[in-house]
Amino acid sequence: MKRTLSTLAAAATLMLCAPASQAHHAFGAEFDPNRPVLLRGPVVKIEWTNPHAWFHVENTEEDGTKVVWMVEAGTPNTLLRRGIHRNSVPIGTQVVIDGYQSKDLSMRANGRNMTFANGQSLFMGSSGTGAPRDGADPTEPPRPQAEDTGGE
Amino acid sequence: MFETFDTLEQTWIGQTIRESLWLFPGIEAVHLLGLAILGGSVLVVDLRLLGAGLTRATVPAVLASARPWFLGSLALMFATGIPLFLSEAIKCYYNTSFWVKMGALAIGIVFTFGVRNRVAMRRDAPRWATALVGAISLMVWFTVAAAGRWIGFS
Amino acid sequence: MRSFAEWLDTHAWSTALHESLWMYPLIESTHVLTVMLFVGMLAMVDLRLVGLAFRNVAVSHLTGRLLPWSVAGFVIMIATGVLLFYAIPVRTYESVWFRVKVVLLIAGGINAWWFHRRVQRDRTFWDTSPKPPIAVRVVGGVSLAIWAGVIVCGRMIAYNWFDCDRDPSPFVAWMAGCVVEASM
Repeated sequence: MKRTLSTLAAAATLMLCAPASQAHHAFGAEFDPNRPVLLRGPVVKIEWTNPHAWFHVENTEEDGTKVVWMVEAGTPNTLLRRGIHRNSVPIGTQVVIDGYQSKDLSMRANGRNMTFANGQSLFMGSSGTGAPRDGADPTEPPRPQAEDTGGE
Repeated sequence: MFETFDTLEQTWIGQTIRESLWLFPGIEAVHLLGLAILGGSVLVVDLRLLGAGLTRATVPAVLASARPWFLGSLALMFATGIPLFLSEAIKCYYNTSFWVKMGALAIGIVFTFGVRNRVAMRRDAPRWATALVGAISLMVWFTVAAAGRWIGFS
Repeated sequence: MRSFAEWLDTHAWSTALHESLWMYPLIESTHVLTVMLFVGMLAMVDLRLVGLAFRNVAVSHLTGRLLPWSVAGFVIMIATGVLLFYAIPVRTYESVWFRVKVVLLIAGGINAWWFHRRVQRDRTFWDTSPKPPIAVRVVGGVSLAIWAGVIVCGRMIAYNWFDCDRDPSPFVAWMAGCVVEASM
């Protein structure tokens, strides 16, 4: 119960406080490739800011609580080229987003795929951020798994 | 080509910068300090070529004094720019601004050493020629800087 | 001050500017690129004061012919800087980097004032000297250091390591003027 309360408090803090306009950073500096997350719920807020747009999604956690996650996307220009813009994702749109949670375990994630209710799926990140080659980015060829872990 | 960029991205320098919270911003800040000096050392000569700025000194004198600072800041730009590139080589590969910047940079270096500095050292160069060379130099280096900033927005 | 920033934050134009597809990147780029004009020209003058460049040109010629360009750059810097603050008021106001930058800006202003009011009074004695006296060289060196600090701090404002919503250390929280939300 205490954990739930603190989670709620953290989420509330995130919602109240200033936007996260973190400037350029590689995937590896901020997010954990070993913490994939699957978020499901309505979009409650979108910040169309450079250099990253942020999608706030109200996800229902395993224990049933509703927590707002902040999902980092590519630049607004990147999204525009893929057909996502201010009017194409109204507040309340139901989405499924898979991504990776931040290293500091806050309710932030790096978004990879965004899937809409009609089954349409879009890569929402930027290419070449150093995120795991999970096949979400259609422009990059997947790398053999052994090579991927060997270098670390 | 993609394979080359992929290999460059996997170098330990690129990996180290990607894993760090501080390295990219830190190196980028030094890159910006280099930009200020590079901008100043280019501007002071180009303005003189255009007949503005230090008009009481001769063009060769202005160039001679600005040259070490231009070369030094250019070296600093490379020393910081290459690690920044290695940390996000694949992102750069897909980034139009990056290619514009690299193209303009190549033109800028060739033009500066091959044309602009030679014209500046000649005392018999006609006024229109020095002015033209100064204007082209300004435009090319501005393009390098602007395209560089735009890498993060595209 | 904080309530002023909060008031700005309520403006629809503030959000519109921050979320604009082209305006924010354009203003931000102008702000960054003008560093070549403002600091670039100023640095050439400072390097002359230190005795490291244009040693055969009179100091007064550099200050008279290059500082106007630098001042023009400074005006653009302020104009675009104000707009950038307007786009992200509360977060910028609570940024440690922004606060250090403002302090450095004031220090830079005092240093420039000191140069023009006091140091320059006996300029006729060292105007053409390749290596000006120590008081002049110190002003030039301090100016270079201050503006380098301004550039670094300016770049770091965009990063959120010390943001109030990331539970900074008490010292950073004090520096940034973080406010504990009353509703919590």
